[in-house]
Amino acid sequence: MIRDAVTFEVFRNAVSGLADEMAITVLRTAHSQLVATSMDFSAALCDADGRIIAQANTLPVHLGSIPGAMEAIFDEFEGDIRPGDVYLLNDPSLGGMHLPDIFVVAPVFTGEILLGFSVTVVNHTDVGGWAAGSMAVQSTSIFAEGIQIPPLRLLEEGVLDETFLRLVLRNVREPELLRGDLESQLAACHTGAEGLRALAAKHGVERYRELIDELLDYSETLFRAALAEATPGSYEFTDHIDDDGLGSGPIPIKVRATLSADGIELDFTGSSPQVASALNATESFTRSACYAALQGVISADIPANSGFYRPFRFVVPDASILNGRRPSARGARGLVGFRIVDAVLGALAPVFPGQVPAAGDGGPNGIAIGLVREDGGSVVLWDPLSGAWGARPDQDGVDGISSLGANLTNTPVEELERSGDIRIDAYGYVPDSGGAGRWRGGLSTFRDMTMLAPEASVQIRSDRRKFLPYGLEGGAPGSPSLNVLDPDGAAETTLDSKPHFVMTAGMSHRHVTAGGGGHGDPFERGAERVLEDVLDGKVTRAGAERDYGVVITADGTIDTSATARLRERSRA
Amino acid sequence: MPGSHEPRSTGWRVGADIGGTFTDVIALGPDGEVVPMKVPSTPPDYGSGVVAATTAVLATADVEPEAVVAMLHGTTVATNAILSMDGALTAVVTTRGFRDVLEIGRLRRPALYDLSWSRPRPLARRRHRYELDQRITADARLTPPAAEDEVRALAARLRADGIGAVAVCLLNSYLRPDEERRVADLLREELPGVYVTASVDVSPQLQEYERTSTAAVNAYVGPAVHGYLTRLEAGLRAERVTAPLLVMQSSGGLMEAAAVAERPVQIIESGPAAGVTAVQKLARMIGLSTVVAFDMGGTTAKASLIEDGEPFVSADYEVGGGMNIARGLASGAGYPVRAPSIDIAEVGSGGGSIIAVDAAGALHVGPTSAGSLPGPASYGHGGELPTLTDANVALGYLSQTSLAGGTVTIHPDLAAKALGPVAERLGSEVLDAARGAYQVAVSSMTTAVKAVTSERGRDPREATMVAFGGAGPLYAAALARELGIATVVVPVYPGLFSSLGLLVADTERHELTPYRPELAEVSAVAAEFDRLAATVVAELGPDAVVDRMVDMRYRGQRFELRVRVPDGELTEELMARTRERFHAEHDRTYGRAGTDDLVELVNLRVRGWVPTSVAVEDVLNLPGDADRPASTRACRFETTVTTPVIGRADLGSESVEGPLVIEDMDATTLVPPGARAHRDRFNNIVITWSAP
Repeated sequence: MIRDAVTFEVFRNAVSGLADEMAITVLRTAHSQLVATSMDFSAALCDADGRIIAQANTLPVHLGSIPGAMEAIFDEFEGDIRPGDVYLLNDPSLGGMHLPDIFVVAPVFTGEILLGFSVTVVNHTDVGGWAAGSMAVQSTSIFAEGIQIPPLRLLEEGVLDETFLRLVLRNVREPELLRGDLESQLAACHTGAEGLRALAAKHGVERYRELIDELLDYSETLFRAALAEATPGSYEFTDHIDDDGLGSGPIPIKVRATLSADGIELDFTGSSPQVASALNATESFTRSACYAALQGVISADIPANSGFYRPFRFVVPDASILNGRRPSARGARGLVGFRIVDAVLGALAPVFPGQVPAAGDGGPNGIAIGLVREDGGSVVLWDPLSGAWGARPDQDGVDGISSLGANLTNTPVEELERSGDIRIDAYGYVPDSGGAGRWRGGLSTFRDMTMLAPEASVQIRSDRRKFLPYGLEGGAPGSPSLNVLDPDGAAETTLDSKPHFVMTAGMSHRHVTAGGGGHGDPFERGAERVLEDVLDGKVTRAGAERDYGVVITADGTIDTSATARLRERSRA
Repeated sequence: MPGSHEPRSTGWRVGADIGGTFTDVIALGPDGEVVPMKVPSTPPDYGSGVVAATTAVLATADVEPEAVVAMLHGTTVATNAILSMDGALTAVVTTRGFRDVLEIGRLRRPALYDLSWSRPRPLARRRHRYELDQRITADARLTPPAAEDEVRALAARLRADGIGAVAVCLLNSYLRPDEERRVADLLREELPGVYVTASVDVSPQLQEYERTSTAAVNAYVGPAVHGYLTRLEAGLRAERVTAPLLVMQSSGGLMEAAAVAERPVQIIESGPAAGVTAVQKLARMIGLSTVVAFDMGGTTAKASLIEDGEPFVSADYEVGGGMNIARGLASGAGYPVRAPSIDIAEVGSGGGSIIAVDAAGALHVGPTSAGSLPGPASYGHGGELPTLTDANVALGYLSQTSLAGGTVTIHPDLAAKALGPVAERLGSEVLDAARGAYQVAVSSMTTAVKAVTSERGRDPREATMVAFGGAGPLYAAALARELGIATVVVPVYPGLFSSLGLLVADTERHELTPYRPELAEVSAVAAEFDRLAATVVAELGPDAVVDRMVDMRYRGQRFELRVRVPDGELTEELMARTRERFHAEHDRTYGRAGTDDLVELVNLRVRGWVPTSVAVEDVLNLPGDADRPASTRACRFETTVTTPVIGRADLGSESVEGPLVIEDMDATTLVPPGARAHRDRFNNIVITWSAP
């Protein structure tokens, strides 16, 4: 327990600040749009046993995967970890998640004493394989997805392995971006190392270790206290991914959450076996998604570290969608993570009714546009699009926002257009897309694009077309996601949710994300709130009548008697 | 100080800085006489307080109002309009298909796991965001241009909706400012009295959301700022103060009120910038090359870095989003503004920060604050929660009777009482709890200093700290110790330092052109720089000094670094030297550098400035308060030590050993045991730590 509250607080401030400092180093020096603009990366500090001490304000589903990566590092290098070493890995069956996420792990020493590790994870723009961006849903084997890196030394006692690096760079589409982003990771690890050494020097190694123990205990204590307020019992929920992108589906994700005095058990027995396409997650990633879900439900204020993870027990079936077996493909596994968050939240909604929101958009939808230049060089444009949060028990969902499991930004339209390859024709909210409820689900967004380049391959990962974001307590589900070619045109065609297709100059495409689910009975939503939404064009007049039983006149006022009649009739 | 001779007739300058609680006014005479005054602020009409205080200070100084040659002002009026969300009813006019850009923003949230978070309310509601059938392409063509009759018809709608301010932000307008200005001009013509901002006039850069947001902030606060400055000028005139009114910009230079009314977005950080400007001038005067400016008041602590006499200026920040820390990571909390602003990192530690213990026994300080009402418990205004000020009273660091020259009475018993429950929860004595809170505050403030130093590749140990603000001098020595900073300077009037900054600031203007393909030729860059320079010279007059700068980055990076273009004719060779400077700065900041082929030119910038006519030495070298009787107080450090309490004037040029408490009228300086202090020839308190 906390021995000295002052030293403890000073230490806590210092390590969380240090983790953020690492992330800022990555952000400011990264070379790719995916990292520098979309912020698809993470940073954390671990102690000498690989336990997370502090996380940067980065990506939840990355962060919780770090213990798995650390295990793989120990399996490979334990007893042979030396000052100046830097390890690299991306192999999903050896500590990684999907190939584009490259972990860079640097041990931190003071003299001969191992103090801990600086860890960064960056989603690189491309790591090779058949599809630009290396995340295609249609991959059926890891061997198609890009270069696989088991835990290896990139630097050995401070000396860079040039051969290794050259091999990696030769296997990817944008080698300069990968090199630049990798250098950012190294710089961030350096920042973390300097900081940990300073902390150990300040407190003494012995006390430094004690403070880490205290910090982890502190998070565990706060988390257990919050869990203790819930009613013990088992709570089940099943959510689905529509399909695997190769024609099979639906893909159930089933969870049984058991709360007891011991903590929380999450049992995924009954979930789908692994699938043929690239949706298969790793166990580390599954755990990570669960941590993120609980962290969201319980409190924003508990420091996220390995102490928070202690009350968890997991049952994750082998060779399942949650824990694929080699050589299953993994590129699009992010989707499973986001759906795990939805399933766990769904299970916990009855336990924490005041905290759990209805389902949101189901995770960012990745659009990767691959172009080949005349000189043979490849370019990948990334455009992660997000929709909405589900309605909360006491307020509307957020319109147009990145989901709990992620925290990605969109790509500025003017940046996307600058290369002259595409034109964005519209980007905005979709009216009536938020699930109706006493509290309305967040609105989805759409983006229309016209191809200007002669030809490009387009790869999209989306979902929530058939299995919609659920509502809670009588709230309606959010609206489905959509991919359309030649929208509103003569040749309008609806595409699958996970298509891979070629666009030539002049073709246009619309992507629509899913809307958030509603919370509570929509007929109990105050008519004034419905009116405000209608005036803002977030709900149409027809939608107000149909979904909320509120009649709005053409000049924008509430028809009180018609509303009363309509609402009355629906109750009868 | 005022004499008994004839009223002086010319050469006086008045600086007035509005804070949440107090308005500070300082008059500076032609011979260096300084008359300070602190009066309560007068919300909501802060201007009347300024007028009253100005009249009062002139009367005290025995000066005719006509003798004032410059009225210099730092104001929170723009920020307040955002914080209290009572700006103009604002509309956005944009390209068909993009009305939601302002609200969707960048999709990120500032706190990772907070499911109760909601986005700040957009400054223009969706119903007030209008689209025009026009389009600017990425290669700068109009397909089609905006139709005049459509714009005029839109104006009629805006009029009908009662819109008070309009932000025009067309997609890709940074490539065709003329098209956006044409739309804005048509709206102005149709809507007299409505405040119209074209985004390219406040932020002519790529990235539609950030540009739209900047324009929306400008429009939203525009009418309030315009009205405020108009009323203030009228009020001053009525009191026969006819001097030109100049307002401090976020970037640290002054600008005429009329120009501010057009670009109020440039004065969002007006107050904090004035303080840093004072530090900048002080640093030049006493010859410090690297300075950490540390400013701590009632609710926050702020840090910024000055290097070789220049503060760092950041290109964008968020207003209204709480603490300005971990920028880039915690985005989404406020309204992005892209306008030059002194780079200031902030944490929620101030005198009013509340001390608390959580369920698992950890001690927290802030970010909640007792504010000015009820304020710290020891003020006796009904506050019951313990604050840092209460801890400082309990520890004996602050006076046990009164503060702020006797205007605030202190009740030490109430401080101890408020701290009791915290001590109980920690299982410690009250004094240990108070000391602990002091140390926790110091540790959280190191975060702010690191954000502007080590995160930028600068070693804080190479800097001198200049501490000001009401609470800064109380924490500066301990904070410096924690960061390995050897020397702390506490200037005269530390609590009024921001208003001193107004008196010594230069007048300045910033102009910018984003990179366009036409600028690939050096001759085109040279011509564009000439054009920008001519613009600022036209605004500032022929005495203006013009600095040329460029923002550069490596391909794919999101953040630029700003470097000065060396003096001389702009040639290939000069551009090559500029790139070398960029590589060097990148290496310094991030520990590595790239190659020339990766360098992108992002913006051309000029800063034009007219040096102030004031001799800085006159202003920043003031006598302290009159002599005061020396006394002692029991102060708690590691142990309780009987500590001498003296006035600034009692401190000599020979350094003496701490502990020592030095009381000015407006702030208290703490010299802990182990540190030494002396007074330098400019009357600064200089605290030094020997190497640890």
